[in-house]
Parts: sequence; structure tokens; C-alpha cells
Amino acid sequence: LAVQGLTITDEELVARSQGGDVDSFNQLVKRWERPIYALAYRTLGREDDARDVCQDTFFRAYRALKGFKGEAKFSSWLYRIALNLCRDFMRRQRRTPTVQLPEDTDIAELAAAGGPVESIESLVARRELGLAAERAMATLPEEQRTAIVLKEYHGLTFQEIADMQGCPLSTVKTRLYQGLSVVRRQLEEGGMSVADIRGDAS
Amino acid sequence: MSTRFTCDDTETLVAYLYDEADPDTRAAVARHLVECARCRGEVTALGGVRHALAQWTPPAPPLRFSLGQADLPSAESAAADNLVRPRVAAWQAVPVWAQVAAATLAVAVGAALANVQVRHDAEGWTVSTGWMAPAATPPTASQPWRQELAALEQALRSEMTVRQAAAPVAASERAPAAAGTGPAVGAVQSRFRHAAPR
Repeated sequence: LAVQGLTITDEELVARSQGGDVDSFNQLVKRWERPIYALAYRTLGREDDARDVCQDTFFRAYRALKGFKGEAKFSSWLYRIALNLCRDFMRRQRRTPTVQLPEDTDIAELAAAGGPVESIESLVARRELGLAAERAMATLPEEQRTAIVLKEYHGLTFQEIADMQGCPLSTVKTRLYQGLSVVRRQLEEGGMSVADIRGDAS
Repeated sequence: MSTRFTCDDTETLVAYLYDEADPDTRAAVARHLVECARCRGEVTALGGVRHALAQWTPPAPPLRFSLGQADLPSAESAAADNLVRPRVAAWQAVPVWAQVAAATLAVAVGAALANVQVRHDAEGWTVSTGWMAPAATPPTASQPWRQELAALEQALRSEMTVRQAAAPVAASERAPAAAGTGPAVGAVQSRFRHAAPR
């Protein structure tokens, strides 16, 4: 392509897609399907539901693309579509996320992915920590959970979260604080000393 | 210098935790943390919570979604026609149980709606209507708009369901614009009108 070597921006791909270039849109899909899937998974807690929501997000985005005027980042726009779909989904199912424990994940596999430096003990500990966090997150009210997910895993600013959740900045901070505090309490009740967890390693 | 932090200011604490506090505020919190063991403990604990959260990785199934393969033709033509045809995608989003339910209903409604019949057999999708001349046979397997027919069929099913729920429809009803005729029925009719001269 003309811009070989340079990353084509989302905005350029959006413009091409709006001009009818489906390949460009599929590049956007490729670029964003992982984050959107992860967002849906962490919101809904089930792989198959997350897949459905993720797929539907891109279908809807494609159909609505002509209406996207670029007033927000493309990714924010996608996140918003995905979160709305998640909300609809939960409303339909009338349930909060269930924690679906992945049984087929092999520790040896994780070890290979984690690189040679990490010990099995530390891997197991990390995995337990992650599962405990997942379980605790599943108990949070939707707004708190979403705020934490957008902050922790997608790096949105307080302001971006406020825009997405349609609430004041201060509410976002309150949701984050309350959510983190609940997770903290649950980790502690599960026998983990959160004060001793060191984040410096990673 | 003038910025002060007090223990109950959780909003500022969160801003500090996520490094979104302005430099003055940040310095104020840092000063406070030196003196206040309780707040220091809280920041450490919340940092630990954040680290725990960072260990939560979602599964990574193969995704490879694309508006390609089955979806691309209709998406392309939708873009070309500047025409939104959401049925194809919406159909694929319908859960299997709902598709089965729709199929069951379609069979039940088939008798009441003798003028529209949709079948799926070895030949592919077949749409036959009471108002259709026998000569206007459905498309054969190689024709590209079979997909569209499949989408229309789905739309028809949902319309039939609605119609069945609303009121029994006279079987002799023919005009596409007649009351109770949904857009998909109209679309089928116009499709065959276009197809007839071939």
C-alpha cells in the first residue's frame, strides 16, 4: 500500500470504509476484535456470550458507520456499542456475570507463554490471583465493574469513562474507589493479603 | 503548596492511584502519605488490588471475525446501493433455539398463509407464493441472490409470527400494500416482479 511501513490510522481506515471499502473495515475489525472481546468477556463473564456481543458490535458498527462523524475516537465509539450490547444482553438474561472457570488452561502452557524466567510457583500464584480477581469483579454492580474494566484493561481516562457512562467525573472516581474496595475486601476474605501483593514484578 | 489532602478524600486518592492527579495534588497526597500510615496502607492495598486485577486475563479463543465470506457480498452491495440490509447479520445473531422456534411457527402458519410458502430442501431455499405464476420458478442453486432469499425468508418468518399473533390473515390477500403485509413480503413480491421478465 501507499503508506507501507507506517501504521494506517483508525481514522483513515474509517474514511475508506465509509467509502465502501470493506477490506478497510475488516482491518479495523482485526485491530479491535481482541479488545472488544476482552471488554465483553470481562463484562459478561462467558466466552460464548462475549463472542456473540463482539461479533454483533462489528456488524452494528459497520451498519452505522456512515453516521460516525469522528467526534469521538473510533475505539470509544466501538466500546460504547459493545457496552450497550452487553447491557441489553444482561437485561435480557436478567443475570449478573457468571464466573466461568477455564478448566482447559494448562499450567505448562502458561509457563511457555510466560517465558522461561518465571517459576511454576509464581505462575500458579498469579493464576490464582487472577481467578480471585475475576470472581470478585463478578460480584460488583455493573457501573462499578465497567468503570474498573475500562480503566484497568483499556486505559481510558476518567473523562473518557465519564463520557461513556454518561455521568460526572466525580461519579467515575467514586465507582472506581468503591469497586476496588469491594474487590480488596473479597481478596482479603479469600485469605490474600493485598498489601503484600507487589505490582513491581510486571 | 496550598493544595491539601485529607484522609476522607477518596476521589483524590483514586486520581493519585491512577496517576491522573495534577502535579500539585499529587505532591499534596505524597506529603500526606508520609505522615499518615492509614492512607499509606490504603494506597498500598489498592495497588495490590490493581496488581491482582492485572492477572485476570480473559481466554483467547480464535476470533477472526470479518465481514467477509458469507457477509461480504451483502455488505458490499449494501454499501454500493447505499442501502442498509440488516437482515443478514441480524439473522446470524439469532440464537439457534429462536431459529428453531421460528421454523416451527413458520410451519404452523404455513396453512393459514397458503399464499406464501418457504421450503428448504436439497434444492436450497424455495419461496413459492399463491400469487406467483407457475412459470416464475425460484432461482436455481448457482444464482447469487439465494442468500438474499435466505435472509428474506427469515424476515418472512418473523413477519408471519407477528401476523399470526395479531390476527388471522385472509389467505386471498394479494396486494403487497394491503394492510398487514410486512416489508419482507413486499420485498419478495417486488423481487419476483423484477425476476419475472428474465
